[in-house]
Amino acid sequence: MNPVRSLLGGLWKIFGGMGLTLRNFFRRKATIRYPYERRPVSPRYRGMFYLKWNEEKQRLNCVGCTLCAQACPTNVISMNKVGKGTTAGVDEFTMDLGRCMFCNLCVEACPFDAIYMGDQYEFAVTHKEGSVLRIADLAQGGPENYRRNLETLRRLQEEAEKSKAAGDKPTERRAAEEGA
Amino acid sequence: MIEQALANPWIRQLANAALLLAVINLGVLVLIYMERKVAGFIQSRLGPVHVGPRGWLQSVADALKLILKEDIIPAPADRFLFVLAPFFVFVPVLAVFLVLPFNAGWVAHDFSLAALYVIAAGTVAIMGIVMAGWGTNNKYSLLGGLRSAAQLVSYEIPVVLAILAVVFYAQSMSLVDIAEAQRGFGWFIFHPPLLVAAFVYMIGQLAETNRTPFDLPEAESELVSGFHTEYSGIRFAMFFLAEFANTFFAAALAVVLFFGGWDGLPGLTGALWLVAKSYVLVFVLMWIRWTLPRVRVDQLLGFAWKVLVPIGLIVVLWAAASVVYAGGAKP
Repeated sequence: MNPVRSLLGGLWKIFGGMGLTLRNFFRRKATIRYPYERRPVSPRYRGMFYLKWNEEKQRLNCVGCTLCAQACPTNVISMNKVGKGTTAGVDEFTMDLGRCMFCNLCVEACPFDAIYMGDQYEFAVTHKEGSVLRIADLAQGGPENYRRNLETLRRLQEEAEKSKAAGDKPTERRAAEEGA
Repeated sequence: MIEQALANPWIRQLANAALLLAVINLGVLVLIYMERKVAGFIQSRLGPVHVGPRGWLQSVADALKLILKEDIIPAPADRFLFVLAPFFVFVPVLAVFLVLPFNAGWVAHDFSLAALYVIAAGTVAIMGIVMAGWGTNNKYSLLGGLRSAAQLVSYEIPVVLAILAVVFYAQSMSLVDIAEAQRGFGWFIFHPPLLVAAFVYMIGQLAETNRTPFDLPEAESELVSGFHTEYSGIRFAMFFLAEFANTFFAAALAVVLFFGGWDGLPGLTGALWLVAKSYVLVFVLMWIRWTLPRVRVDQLLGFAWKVLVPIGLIVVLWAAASVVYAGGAKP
């Protein structure tokens, strides 16, 4: 090949490449400055768990049925059920995220819409125990709603006790209400 | 008192050198920031953003970090050469700045052979690089040092030929005279032979300053930074300083030789024009660096000897002919 031609051809290619980088220079940058800016996560993102708060009933949806714990392949979930029947709830719900693989099986198993996975993805902790989350961490709305959940459950149980003491059988009352 | 002291030529030159050293150090901080920003922008990143507003103080933080680092000399190294090498690289860069005219009358020392002096003093840095490569007792550093010896010696020739063509036009080797000859937009870059010479000069300086695509002496990915692998802290900072100061000098000399020196639109002082034009050229050098990949050793030397040197010789003949037969730059 003609050497002069190949030299000029090479120069032309270099100018082409430099044009490309110059366009890049003025384009919008791809960087997202992470701690200050965040990329939106997918609505189906499997992030941090939360126990759904029911504002109307002033309690967590969870009734302590342990279906999620049974569905879990890695034994992440343990809970303590209080009350029974319509007054059932949980006063403790512990998840050891050190074992969790975020498979979503617990969420799918729940018949009460009680447990969900949110969009939080910053789980880093400074010691192993930090990855064990208690109910106060998991309750939607934080420790405040955990406290209100306990109050509601206590109130429901007291009401149940009272009506039991008054000889009111819950099944009869329900029949009466339905009849009314 | 100060004026009396400055009347003494020795003290005067020392003061000039100290002033230049300060200007070079500050300029290099700006250049490092600029390099990182340009690299980032070309790669669709933001570059440094954290230290100071828009990352302006990043270079200052880096310089402080380098100064505070432990000074390590490897046990098997040749202590004498190891310690001496950074000075051999840095001092020539400072020395060539002494003859660079920033403005009419703003030159530390002007003399009639300045163009020759620039070439000669600049070449001393090769010794420093070879010393660093040999002195560290590291095979990659030695390879880097040898590569740089081959590369710098080869590319010195086209650069000299390009400068020679300019000297024909200016009829002087003094950088002040060369810049004066281009007053009023009679820039040498507008003369066809010198346009080609400017190309040859810039490509040669790209290799002289060890910048990609000719950064084989450093070659992070194959020689783990080449001759300065074993250097850290303040000694590494001196190499770094020399490299960036050299880049700036290459651009500033190109401005003096081809782009009219301090010539510019009236209203601003000439030094600002010179510095502004230099920064544009430095940007071009950085732009090239972040666009082109590194060449192979054989391509590098083949290009110098088979392409640049013949073109340089043709340009010298062409410039000489146009000076003799067409009057060159003289109207």
